[in-house]
Amino acid sequence: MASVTYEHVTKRFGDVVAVNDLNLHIEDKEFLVFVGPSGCGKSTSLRMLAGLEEVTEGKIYIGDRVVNDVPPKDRDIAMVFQSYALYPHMTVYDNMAFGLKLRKVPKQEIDRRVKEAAEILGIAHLLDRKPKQLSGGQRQRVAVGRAIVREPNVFLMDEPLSNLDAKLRVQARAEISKLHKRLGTTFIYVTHDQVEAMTMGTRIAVLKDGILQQVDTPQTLYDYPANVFVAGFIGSPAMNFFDATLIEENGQMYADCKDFRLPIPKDNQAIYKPYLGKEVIVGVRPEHIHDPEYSPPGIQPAIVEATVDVTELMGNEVIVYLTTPHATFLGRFDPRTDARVGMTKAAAFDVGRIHIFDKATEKAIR
Amino acid sequence: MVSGKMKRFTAAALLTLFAFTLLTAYLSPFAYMTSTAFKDLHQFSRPDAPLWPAQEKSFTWEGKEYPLYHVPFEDGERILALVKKGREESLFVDPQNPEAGEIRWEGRWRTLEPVWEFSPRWENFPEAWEAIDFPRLFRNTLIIATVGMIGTLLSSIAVAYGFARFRIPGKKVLFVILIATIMLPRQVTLIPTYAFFARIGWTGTWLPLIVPHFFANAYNVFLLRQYFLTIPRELDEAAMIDGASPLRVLLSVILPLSIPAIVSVGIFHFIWAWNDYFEPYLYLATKPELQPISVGIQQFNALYSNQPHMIQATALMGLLLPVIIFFLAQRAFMRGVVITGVEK
Repeated sequence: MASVTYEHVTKRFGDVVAVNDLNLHIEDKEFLVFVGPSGCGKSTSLRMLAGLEEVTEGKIYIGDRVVNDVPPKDRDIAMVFQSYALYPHMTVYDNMAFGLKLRKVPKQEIDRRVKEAAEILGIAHLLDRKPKQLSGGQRQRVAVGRAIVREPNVFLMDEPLSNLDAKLRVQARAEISKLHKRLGTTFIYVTHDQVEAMTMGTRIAVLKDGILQQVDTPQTLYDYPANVFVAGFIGSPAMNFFDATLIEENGQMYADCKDFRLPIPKDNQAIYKPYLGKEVIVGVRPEHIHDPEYSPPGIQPAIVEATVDVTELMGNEVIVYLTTPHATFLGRFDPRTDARVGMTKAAAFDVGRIHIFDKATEKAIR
Repeated sequence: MVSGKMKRFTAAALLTLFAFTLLTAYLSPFAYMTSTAFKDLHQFSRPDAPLWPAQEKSFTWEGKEYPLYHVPFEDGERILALVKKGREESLFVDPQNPEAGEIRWEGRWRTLEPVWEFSPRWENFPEAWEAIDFPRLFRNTLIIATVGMIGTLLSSIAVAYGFARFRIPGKKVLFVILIATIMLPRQVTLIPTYAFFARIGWTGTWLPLIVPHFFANAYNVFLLRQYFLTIPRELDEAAMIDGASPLRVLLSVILPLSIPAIVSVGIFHFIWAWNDYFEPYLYLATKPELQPISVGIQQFNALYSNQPHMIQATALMGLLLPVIIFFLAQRAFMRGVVITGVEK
């Protein structure tokens, strides 16, 4: 059981800065997810913690011990790799027992732990097999099992589900979450899939170009993205963005998006005051753009007329691609909507849920 | 689709024919060697003797042995025993029917073709074994080849592991330099190395034939490094996190997955050392008791140049072990460890 701290951690590969001044404290027993597009430094951050990459600058703590110069084997961590990295020449049992044997754990204890982990993961009947005789899902479980038996202080997982098919991935996601609760150990998980991040993490750290963008609970990230990148990365389909200017008319503040105006709710006007007359970016999530006839109660609707470009029926909803002369955006409409391709359709924006970002810094105006 | 089938059949037939021709070309010296090793010395002086080990057939009549010949008659050829040689006519006996008495045949018996029967002479082997002191040669060769093989495996594996896995400043340059040594012909390095070994007093010992192999060999390092590079680095990393030191990673992960490459390198070296003639000859010319088979056979050849059957019998015995090892190793090649534990 241990916390993990990154203190001004920087990693350079030659001239390329992979991780730039990362500061992050991960509590004991937390499930932290590093998420971001490829090349954002999430895997590098994890590999530095594992000891597989050297830290260029800064310090990494596990508990209150600086581990910068501690070899991987002495960090008391276990890791699940994207490729699983099972030893091809060993049986499942030996794969799981290898780390314990190296640590000179007594034979009976090894046997007990391996069998217990195999029981938990439902791979007890596979212990005599070699990795090549297993399916993708089974290999993934063995890789997790190999980490569990070690009973480490920190679990590291580097995209462990990305080689599974979609259905298995959903199932494995839930299993890893359950495992986290059961073991009560710190989990650090790397993924490029924001759905995995949202569903599994107690907190999510969003990275881009080696820089930590925001770290918070999934709900806070969704509700209060710190900048345009986080806003666009979290949520599916992604948030719609409009270039706009903040104006005031007759005591009412508006975001003027050229083709339409969105009134700013009275409660928020004070914080946007300094931006009056300036250019901003307005963000609206597709789930906050409704068909006016079926809009849920309690929203603050602003009607925008637009042309329907494409409709995608999902069963429980219709994703409607709408265009105005200067903008294209998506709405998630009730499936009963009459929106058809080519027609002009009114869309109800829930202005209570819009996000406004500084155009220059792309940071949320708060 | 008959034409397609026909085409495939023709292609397969041609390929088989080609392979067979090639095989024949490659195996014919071996076949000649094997055949010669079993021949009787007497057979070499007979130009009309067959290629296979054979002896002239004879027939015992009235307590004496007489040679058999193919004798032509007007009503066909008969196999008869020559009992009385004459200039223009000779007397024969029919082995099928000796009671019929002597048969007169007109003609020169020297023009007749003798009857040969297949008769491998196994005694060549024990004779050669004794004459050449084969056990001593065999033991010498085995020690030189085996110790050298162990040396080249230990050192080449260590160097290849370093090149494949570690961050070493100037690694690329070092590797290029190493590979460049492959291009140095032996004739160039021979004199300086000989001078060196002579200076430190190693001539006349096995040391110059064994010790250099404990300092790796560019071919072997290259081969092993290339093989190690195909093993995913994640396996090393997983092992490191599991608690393995670099040496443990090598022993528990890299080596078990590289068995085919290691076996090949081992066999290559063993067979090379087994057949190497020049260096053992150079360093051990004055010490017959230390010489390996290759040099021993050559000495034997000089002594018994008029006894090709003995030379070939010795060569065949010397060949036996490498051939057995090769066939055993063939199975190790086949068995090979399949790297499927990592999905990519």
